[in-house]
Amino acid sequence: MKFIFSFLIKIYQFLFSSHSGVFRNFYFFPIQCRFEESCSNFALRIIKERGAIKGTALAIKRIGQCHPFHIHK
Amino acid sequence: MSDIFNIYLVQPFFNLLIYIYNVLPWHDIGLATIILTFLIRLVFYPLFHKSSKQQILMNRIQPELQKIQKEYKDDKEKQVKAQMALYKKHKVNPFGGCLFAIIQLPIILAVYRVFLNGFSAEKLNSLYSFITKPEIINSVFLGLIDLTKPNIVLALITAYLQFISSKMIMPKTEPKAIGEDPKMKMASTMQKQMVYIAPVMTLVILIPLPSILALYWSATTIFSIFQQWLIKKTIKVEDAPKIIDQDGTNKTIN
Repeated sequence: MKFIFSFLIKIYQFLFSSHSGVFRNFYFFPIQCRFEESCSNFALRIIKERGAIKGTALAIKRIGQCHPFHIHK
Repeated sequence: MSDIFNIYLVQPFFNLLIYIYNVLPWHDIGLATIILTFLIRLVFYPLFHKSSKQQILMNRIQPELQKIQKEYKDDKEKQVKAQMALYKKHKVNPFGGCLFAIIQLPIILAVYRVFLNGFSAEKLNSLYSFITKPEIINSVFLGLIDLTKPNIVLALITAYLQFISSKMIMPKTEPKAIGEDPKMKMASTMQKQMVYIAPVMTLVILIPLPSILALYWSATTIFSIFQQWLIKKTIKVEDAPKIIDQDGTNKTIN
């Protein structure tokens, strides 16, 4: 489970991410990052630390925080 | 859903491509492809410039953001207010987030679809009535490369361009400074790997596909390289993303 999730995120990073992916240049403009660590790197780290289910939940929560009124902790 | 995608996104780009093809004195679908790519990029250039600038600003205010967090740890309302004031002071638009960026995905997919669909008689019949229907599409680029078939040379050129572009975005961070922060290390290892992995993957993806996709990819990459270079030149040096950490190490942010 942990492995599958991490693998999927890796595929996203290698192919589709607008920061590092192979298809990066097709984006007309880069996706801005509100956090110091990118969401996909955060997801990889948190899944490793907290396990697949808790980690994925935290990663989704993190993506949900990508809005102007988020309070940085 | 796929009908909506076809009618409102794929068809307009297909028609525009054929229109460019018709207007060109030298009918060549390869040249039309390059011109269409550049036109789309040109339209989106202001957004690219703004977005890149915002990213640099956002990185620059990170230390101040952290200061605010510490100062108003117990008062969330004040923290939000201070945060907004900081955004305002540095002219950071807080509304450009990841959601805003998702709007470009359907357009990217639609243009890709146009080239993948090809130019069969059936496709040409679906052109709008005010676009002249070409009898036959000349698919030989510059009289040399048949764009309906895979072409290894174009694929290799694309892979090389991909290499240049990946190399350009590599962070020029001091290896020592990265070593201390596992988060930074992870991101930078990724980008270093991509310098070599991206061209290889590009090649693997393109080898079996019609070479018009390689041409489109090349044109896109050339434009990206140019944009990257332009952004480095035009965003002023004082905005340069150099932040001194608390422990005095330099972090350069791309």
